[in-house]
Amino acid sequence: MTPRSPRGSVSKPPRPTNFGNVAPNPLDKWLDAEKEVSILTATSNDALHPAENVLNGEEHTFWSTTGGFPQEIVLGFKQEIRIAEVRTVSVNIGSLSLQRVMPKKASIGLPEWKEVTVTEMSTDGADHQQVESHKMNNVSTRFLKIAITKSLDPFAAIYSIHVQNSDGKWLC
Amino acid sequence: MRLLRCRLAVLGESAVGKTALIQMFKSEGAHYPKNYIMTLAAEFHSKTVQIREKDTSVEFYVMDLSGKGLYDSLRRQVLEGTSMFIVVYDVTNEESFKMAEKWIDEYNAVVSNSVGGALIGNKSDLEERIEVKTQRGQDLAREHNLAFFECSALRGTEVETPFNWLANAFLNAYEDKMKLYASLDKS
Ligand SMILES: Nc1nc2c(ncn2[C@@H]2O[C@H](COP(=O)(O)OP(=O)(O)OP(=O)(O)O)[C@@H](O)[C@H]2O)c(=O)[nH]1
Ligand SMILES: [Mg+2]
Repeated sequence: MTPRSPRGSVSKPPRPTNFGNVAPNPLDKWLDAEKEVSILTATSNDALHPAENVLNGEEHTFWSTTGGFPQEIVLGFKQEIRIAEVRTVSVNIGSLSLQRVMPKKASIGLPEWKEVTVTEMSTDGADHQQVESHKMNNVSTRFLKIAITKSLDPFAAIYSIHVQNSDGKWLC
Repeated sequence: MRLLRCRLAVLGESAVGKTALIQMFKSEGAHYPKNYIMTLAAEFHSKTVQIREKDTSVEFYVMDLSGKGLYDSLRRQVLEGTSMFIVVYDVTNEESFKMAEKWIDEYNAVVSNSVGGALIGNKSDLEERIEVKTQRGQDLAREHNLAFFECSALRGTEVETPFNWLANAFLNAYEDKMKLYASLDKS
């Protein structure tokens, strides 16, 4: 994938929220306006191992998946950002797909997700922590979906997700 | 309340009563399919088992697979997504018991990281025609590290027991993993 033009290029006006004249995204209403990054949805919800654990900065807490794949977690950002890199710490993931939301004109319907990158993890690392870096080519989005499409165990888990913007700042 | 999801494969020779067993489990004894209708390829059912003392629900996605060997490639695909299994034989049919081991081996060859399974001898109501004694079923199950049950889908006896056992085994496997995950460090 070719990198987008850098932020602040003269040809484009600054980007307003809600994609300008584009219809509001249905995911918007889940965003926590106070936080730079928040968890919007997750496909598994064990109150003992909630999705929020991936952002809490603790090494031994995690979001657990409770059976069946794919499993997905969606992060939302306070404003549209350009993502340079995502780092994940996980266990028993086989394949991870990172997706962003495409701006769209239609006023109704579900957001359209587009895969940015897929990471296949080593199959001999079962029951060990996996630390992975995913290059995101500075794609812009307000939402990031991380989907576990294959696993090494009936239950995979994610300890943390870190997102770096195109200015080199880690947002979480 | 915690919800776990378990994809469960049900295997065994044709006409041993896989579909009858699943229907009785799903309908809580209300629906016994009297007439034999061969399952084509595969059918899917879902049913939730509550484990109240652990405040947990286990939602089973039950894959009812045809006993006929016509659809091998499809069966393999379906098995790949499952994490537990049941192999059923008919206690009045020696041949179905002999083939049970083949079904166990086939499952284990496709799914290497399963959470476990159960062997079930069905049609225990036909007492006068029993060909496979309980002990032999128990021995085969032990040999393959499976739980063992005898039941009658027709009478509705011991139909829920295997599913309750599987739900508890699934929850135990989950809790063991959670403990392990909480203790891991960056390698
Ligand atoms: N006596 C008795 N008959 C049963 C019992 N369970 C099933 N049957 C009968 O056995 C026949 C086959 O049952 P099914 O459940 O359709 O068998 P199946 O294993 O699903 O067979 P396939 O779909 O061909 O793989 C039917 O006529 C059922 O009524 C039982 O517990 N006792
Ligand atoms: Mg059937």
